[in-house]
Parts: sequence; C-alpha cells; structure tokens
Amino acid sequence: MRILVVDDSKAMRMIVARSLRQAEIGAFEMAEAPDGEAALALIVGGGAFDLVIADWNMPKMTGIELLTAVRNAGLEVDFGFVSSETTQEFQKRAKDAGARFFVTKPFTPEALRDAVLGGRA
Amino acid sequence: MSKSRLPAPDGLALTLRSLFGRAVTVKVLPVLVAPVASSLTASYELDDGTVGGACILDVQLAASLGAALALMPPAVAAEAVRRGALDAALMENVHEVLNICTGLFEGGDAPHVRLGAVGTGAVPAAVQAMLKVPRNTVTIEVTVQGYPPGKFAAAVG
Repeated sequence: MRILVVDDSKAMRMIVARSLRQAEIGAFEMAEAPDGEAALALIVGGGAFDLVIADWNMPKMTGIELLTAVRNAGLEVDFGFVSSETTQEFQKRAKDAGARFFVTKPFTPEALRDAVLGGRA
Repeated sequence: MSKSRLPAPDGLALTLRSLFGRAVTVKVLPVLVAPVASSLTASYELDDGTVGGACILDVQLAASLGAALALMPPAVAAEAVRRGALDAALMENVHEVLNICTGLFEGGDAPHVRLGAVGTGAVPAAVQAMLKVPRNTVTIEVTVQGYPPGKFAAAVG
C-alpha cells in the first residue's frame, strides 16, 4: 500500500508513520507532504497512492481543499483525515466531500489502524 | 452565545498521555502563574475571529512538550530551558501540541475554536483581560514522564 501523509507538522507526520507501523497494517510505503498544495502536486503528478491521510488545518491549501481538488481532478484515491478538529460539523463536511474516515488527534495506533483498514476490501 | 470551556486538568492529562504515549501527571495550583517574557502564549479564536480562550506555558513545559512530541531526549528540553527559549524544531512541535489542545476548549455547547497566534513576549490585550478574572482561569503543573515539569495556565473569555 502506498500512503501519502499530509501535515504541516513534521513531528505529526512522524507520529502517523510510527503509529501505522505499530498498528501492523501490513506492508506500506509512505510519502510525505507539508501542505495541501505540495500533496496535490504529488497526487496529480502520478504518485499512485492508495490512501491519502491529511490534516485539516494547513497553510497554502487545507485538507478539505485538497480533497475537493483531488475529486475535481477526477481522482478517486482513498482519503481520510487526521485532525485536531473535534466537532461533528467537520466530520460531516469531510464525509460529504468524499473522505472515508476522520480520526481526531490525539489518536491511538489502534484507532488509526481501524480507520485505515475499516471498509477496505 | 456560549463561551469556550475552561480546560479540565484531567482532560489535559488524557490528551497529552494519548499524544505522547507516556505517563502524564497534573496538579492544579492555587494561584495563577503570571506570564513572563519567556512564556509561550497561545490564543484560541472563535469563528468570528475574536479570542475565546488562551493558554500560557512556561518555558519548562513548552520545551518538554515540544521534545516529548518528537521523542527528543530530555536534554534537548533542558538546554532550551537553560537558554530561556525554544529552537525552531521545539517551537514547531509545541505549536502542534497547542493545536491538538484546541479540543480542550470545546465540548458541550462551547463554540468551535481554532488555534490563533502563538508567541512569546507581550501577552495580547484580549488574553490579559481574561487573566484578570480568576474564576475563568486555571493553572496546572504538568509532568510528562522523563521530561522536566512545567506550568500550564488557561483562561477563557
């Protein structure tokens, strides 16, 4: 599985990677981007990602703007959020835009695993 | 309109414990710890842009939280405390911790907030005003296992 982790915090990208390893989701390759704009370039540039895990609040382009841009580009890459936003409103907006999961920070490796693997064939 | 929720000590401990994966103990202090030049002040903004809440970390806690997030050695935090300032990496990390603490000001009928300005030096006027109302403030001593303890003060408007 190829996963793109998008977060403006380098430490948080590291934590997501560590959590994915601890959660034993199976073999995966991980790429990183510090904001939505950089992530979009990787995705439309042929990154062939199976999953994008994005923060919501980021400079240049937010996570929801990234998801919208990806869908507008006709790409159906699997997408989830890992965010400090805690309200239902944000979770609904994410789902309406086509995200498969929304995990609130801080999270456990198990919660991330359940989100990443949940609903996958 | 309802106001932001004052962060609960247990909620703070749970958030940090979940984030760092290590033991965190908290103790409420009876007196508000006044900010000093090296303190880090974070404002939490309501959707209309006004300040709904704030927290103030002394340099000890700011350094410890920044180091613990990235599993940096405690010596990195101790060096920042000795200098009286955080380097760029610690600052970026503690910014993320403060971002994750956003949820401590929400819940129930409290409105949505997002992390606003974070910085040292002069405390914004809106935050100063909040700090003058003791019932709207809390000061908590925080110890993250393996790192120097420090103080966290929070206030809501």
